[in-house]
Amino acid sequence: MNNTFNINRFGLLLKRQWLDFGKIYLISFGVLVGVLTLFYAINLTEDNLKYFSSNTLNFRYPLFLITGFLFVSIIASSYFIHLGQKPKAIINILIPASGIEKFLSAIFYTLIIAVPTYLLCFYLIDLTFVSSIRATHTLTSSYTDYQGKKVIIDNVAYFFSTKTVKEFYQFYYVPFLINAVFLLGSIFFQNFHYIKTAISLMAFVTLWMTSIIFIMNKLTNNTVWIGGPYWQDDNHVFFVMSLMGIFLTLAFWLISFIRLKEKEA
Amino acid sequence: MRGMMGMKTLTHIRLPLNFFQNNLEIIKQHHTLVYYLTNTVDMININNLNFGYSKHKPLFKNMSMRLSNGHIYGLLGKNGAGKSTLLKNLAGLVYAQSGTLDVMGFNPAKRQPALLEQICFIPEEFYLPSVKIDAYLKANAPFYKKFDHDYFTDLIKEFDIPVEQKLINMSYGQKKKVIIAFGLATQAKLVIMDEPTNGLDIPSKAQFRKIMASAMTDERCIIISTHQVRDLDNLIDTVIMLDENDVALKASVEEITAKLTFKKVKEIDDSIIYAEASLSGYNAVMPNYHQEESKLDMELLFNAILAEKIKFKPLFS
Repeated sequence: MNNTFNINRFGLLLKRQWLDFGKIYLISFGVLVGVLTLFYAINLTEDNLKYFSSNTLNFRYPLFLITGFLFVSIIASSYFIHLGQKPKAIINILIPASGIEKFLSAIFYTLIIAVPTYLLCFYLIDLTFVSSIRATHTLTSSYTDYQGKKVIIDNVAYFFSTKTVKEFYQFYYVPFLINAVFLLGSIFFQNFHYIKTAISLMAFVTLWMTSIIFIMNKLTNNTVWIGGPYWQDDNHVFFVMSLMGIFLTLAFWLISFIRLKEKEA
Repeated sequence: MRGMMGMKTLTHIRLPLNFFQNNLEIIKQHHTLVYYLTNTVDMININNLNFGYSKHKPLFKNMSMRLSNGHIYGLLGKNGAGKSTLLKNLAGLVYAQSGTLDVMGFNPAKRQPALLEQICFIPEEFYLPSVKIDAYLKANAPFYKKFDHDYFTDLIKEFDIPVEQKLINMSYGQKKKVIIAFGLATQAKLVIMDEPTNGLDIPSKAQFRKIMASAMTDERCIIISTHQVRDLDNLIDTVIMLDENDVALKASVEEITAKLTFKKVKEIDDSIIYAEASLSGYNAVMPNYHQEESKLDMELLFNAILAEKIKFKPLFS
């Protein structure tokens, strides 16, 4: 018997975990659908559509980011919630599956299933509402780019075809990082997993940003940049941020895996 | 040297040379498991176990003990003596500070599936999901290769469990019966039960004793921790008593009744090691000098050991 990973056992574990986690997942998903529909409905009332402008659909960007963060973080934070309660923890620890299988099943549900379903859900709701607007409204604007070429912007574009969303690729690591942080929080804390993880995250980010600003101020005060233009390019900065994000994600996943293996009941 | 001999055998049956090296751990575990399941040997070996929930308050200090298959052990101890904790150590639910724990050739702390499917752990407090028995069975039974569905159905019938009801809506006693039935149907070799009779009504306790007696096989090792010693009367064959961070007594019922006699006496004399007043005199424990036959009174023995540990030590060392 392979004690590290067995595909059949992993399949059984996924099936079993759905029994526990399925309800939390479906409730969260139902709330998500409700919230998204509500926001679209509130922002796209008859009155708003009468005065349709290029800004009317801008509510979608914060909506996408905030609900995305909440959905991914809540799902990740709920997965190991049972480990904080001894009776549930005992049953789950003693399920004959390896630590790696148990961890991968968490990744499967909280990331591989959760993120695509969120994107699909947002896409379908956006498709429904925007299609109905497109049936009655058209609004385009244009500008001339630096090469003298005229660029036409469709202001009633579907969310995932907008120019802004296409630039999100530099932040593709973010859902993974959110997942890793909240998954660790759900294993690390005994109770109030979500709140404690969120507070820890805020404290960490605040501390990190304050110290970076403080250090950079100290280092660059009364100095002049004489290096090459490498760091003046946004793409290079975002690339380094992505690398750091990927590194942190992997590090948090590794710590979560170790904590899961060592969790006592 | 052993490894080299193994490799020779392998080349003889034309397996790749690196087969053993790559699979040595799996082969060793499989071999050990087969060995443990087919021989009456120490199924559990505890060596100098040190454990405590905080470093300043040790629960076990250099505890050593061996438990074999083919026995039903009764684990007794005061509140806080560490009965549940010892069981958790055996199942790998908590980690020892030092010392070694060997369960069927595995270190339980590694929580390997090969060992976990050989352990049936019935905790005192447990959780069952909001599903019917069928759904619970479908989700959990496939993890246990030897799961006996017919036996499970028989046990559920015997315990008179309403199968159409959701597990979460059942009473504590009914849930406990479901979890006991499931655990026994896994055919696990090591059965660990923490206060299994808590919450069971009087007829269910009798059923439990009957079922446990029939579930005992030569391959199995059953450890039952309880405060309600009368529930285990005639069921356990070996008594393990924990006190003051260690094993205060580990002896078979036969050995205890061969060395001690449990009697009702009118007056106390010097030969009595321990006595408790009763309506008609005293319930006493005394050395069995004349090979008298008496029934083990576990409650009396328990109190006697706790009160007169030093007097009993030479008898069971």
